[in-house]
Amino acid sequence: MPELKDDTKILQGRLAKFCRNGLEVELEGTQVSRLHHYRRLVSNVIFDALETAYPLTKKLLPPKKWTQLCNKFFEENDCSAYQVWRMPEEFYHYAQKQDEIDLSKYPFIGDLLKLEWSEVEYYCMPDRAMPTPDDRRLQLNPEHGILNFEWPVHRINALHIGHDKKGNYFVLILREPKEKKVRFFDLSIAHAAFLELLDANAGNLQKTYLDLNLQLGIQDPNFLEENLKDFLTNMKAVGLLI
Amino acid sequence: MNKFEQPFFLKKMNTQIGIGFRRDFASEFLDSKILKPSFFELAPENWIKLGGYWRRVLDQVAADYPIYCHGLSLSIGSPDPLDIEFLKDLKEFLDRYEVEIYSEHLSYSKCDNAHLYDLLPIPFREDAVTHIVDRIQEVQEILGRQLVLENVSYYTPIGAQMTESEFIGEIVNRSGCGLLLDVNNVYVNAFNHNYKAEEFIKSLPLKAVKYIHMAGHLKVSEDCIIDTHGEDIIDPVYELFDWTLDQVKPVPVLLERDFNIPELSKLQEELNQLKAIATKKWDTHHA
Repeated sequence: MPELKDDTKILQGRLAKFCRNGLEVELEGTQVSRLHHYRRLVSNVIFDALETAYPLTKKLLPPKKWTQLCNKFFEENDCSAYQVWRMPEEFYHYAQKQDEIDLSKYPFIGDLLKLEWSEVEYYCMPDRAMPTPDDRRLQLNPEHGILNFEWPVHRINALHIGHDKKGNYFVLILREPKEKKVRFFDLSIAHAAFLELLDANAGNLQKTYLDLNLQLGIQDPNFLEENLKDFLTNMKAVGLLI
Repeated sequence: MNKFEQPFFLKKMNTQIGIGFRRDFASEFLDSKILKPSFFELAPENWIKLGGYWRRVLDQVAADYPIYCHGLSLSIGSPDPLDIEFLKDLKEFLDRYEVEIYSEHLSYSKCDNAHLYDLLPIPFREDAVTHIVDRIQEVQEILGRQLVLENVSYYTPIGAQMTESEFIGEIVNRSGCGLLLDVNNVYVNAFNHNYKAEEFIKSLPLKAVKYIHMAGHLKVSEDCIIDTHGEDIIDPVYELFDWTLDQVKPVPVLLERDFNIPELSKLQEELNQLKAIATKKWDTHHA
C-alpha cells in the first residue's frame, strides 16, 4: 500500500494530538483561530458518551474532578473501540489505574463504574441463544451475570456510603426476556453460589443441592430445597430461570 | 464503471427522500403517523452487534423501510492501517440488512491507534490521494460493494497542496468510488473559505454522485459556520440544492437532523420541501 509521506503523517498526528490534549500546536497551512472547533467538537462527543454511560459517577464527583478525569482519559487512553458507545468501558478501566487525580475519597468508585458500565453492556450486548425448556433441568437465561462488589453501590446512593460498609456483595444482573430491560437483584452469598453451581451443573438441580450442601457444610439434605423455594419462584418470575 | 457499482437502469427511479434514524428518537420516528420518509439512514457503528431492545427496533426499521448506511469509523484518510475486523463486522451488517448505499466521510477519525469519534480534515495532498485511493479499493473488495464518500465540512485546511475540489476529484476519478454530495457542507465550506458554492460543485465529478445530504448549520461567528445538523435548513441552502439538482442525475436525498429535533410535523415539512424540489427538477428532466 502506498505510504503517506512523513510530513503528511506528522500533520495528521499533530491535529489528532491537539484534539486530545488541547495544547497549542504548530500546524502548517492552518487557520489557527479555527483549530479550537475541532478540539471542542471531539471533546463534546467524548463527554456526551461518558456522561450517558456514567450518570451516577458524574453526579458523585465534583464537576472539576469529573472534567479533569474525562480530559485525562481522552488524552492518555488510546481509545480502541470503533463504536463510541463501547468507549466508556475503557474509561472504567482507566479510572481505576490512573493515580494523578486523587479519588481516595471515593474508594467505591471502581464498583460504581462497574455497576454503571454493566448496565450499558448488558442492555446492548448481542442476543444470546435461549435454551429450550427441559423438564429435567432448571435452565438459566444466558443474558445474566453475577457481579461481585466490595461496596454496596447497588443499594445505597454513593454519596452516602460510609467506610464501615466495605464487605462482599453479590448482585444478579439480568436482561429480562420480555422488554429486554436490565434489572439488578441483590443476592446473598448462598444465592450467588447456588446460581453459579446451577450454571456449572448445566441446570441439574439435585446435583447443585448436593454440591452446595458440601460447600456450605449443610447436613440436612432437605434444607436447601426448603429454603430456596421462594428464591426459585422469584427467579422464574423475573425470567432468570427457564 | 466500478465493478461494484449497480447499473443505473436497475435502480429505482422515483424520488427518494429519507431521514437519519437515531436511537434517541427511535420510538417517536417509528410510531409516528406523521413522518413518512422513503428510507432511513443510520450509522452502522451505532447498531453493529447490538442485541436486546435495540436489535428489535432495528429489525422493525428494516422490515418497514429501506436502510442506507452512513458510517463514522472507517477513517479512510487515516495514516493508521484499515481496521479489518471492523470491516468484516460491517460487511456482515450491510449484508444482513441488504443495505444498498454505504457511505462514509472523506476525512479521518482515527490516528496513532486511537479513535477520536469525529471527523478531522485530511491534508489536500497528492500522497494523501494515492493513499486513500488504495484504501478505497481495499474497502470495496472486502465489502463487495461500492463505497460512497462525502465531501466533509471543514473549518481550516491543514497543509493543503491542492484545492479541495482537485483533492475530491482525483480520489473519486482514480478509485471509482461514488460521491455523496453534501450540499450543506458545500455551503458551509464556501462561506468559511470564501469560495463560490456553485463553481465548487461544477468542478466535482458529478457523474459519480450517488447520494445527496441536506442539513442545517449554525453560524458561530461573523466568518464561521459550523455544520451542526441541529437547525432547520436555511433558504440559501435550499436554493443551492435546487440549483444542484440541475447538475446531477436523480439520486436519494437525505435530511440530516441529529440534535434539537423539532416537532415531527416540522421535519415532515422539510422532507416535503426537499421532495417538491427534487420532483420538480428530476421528474421534468429525467422523465
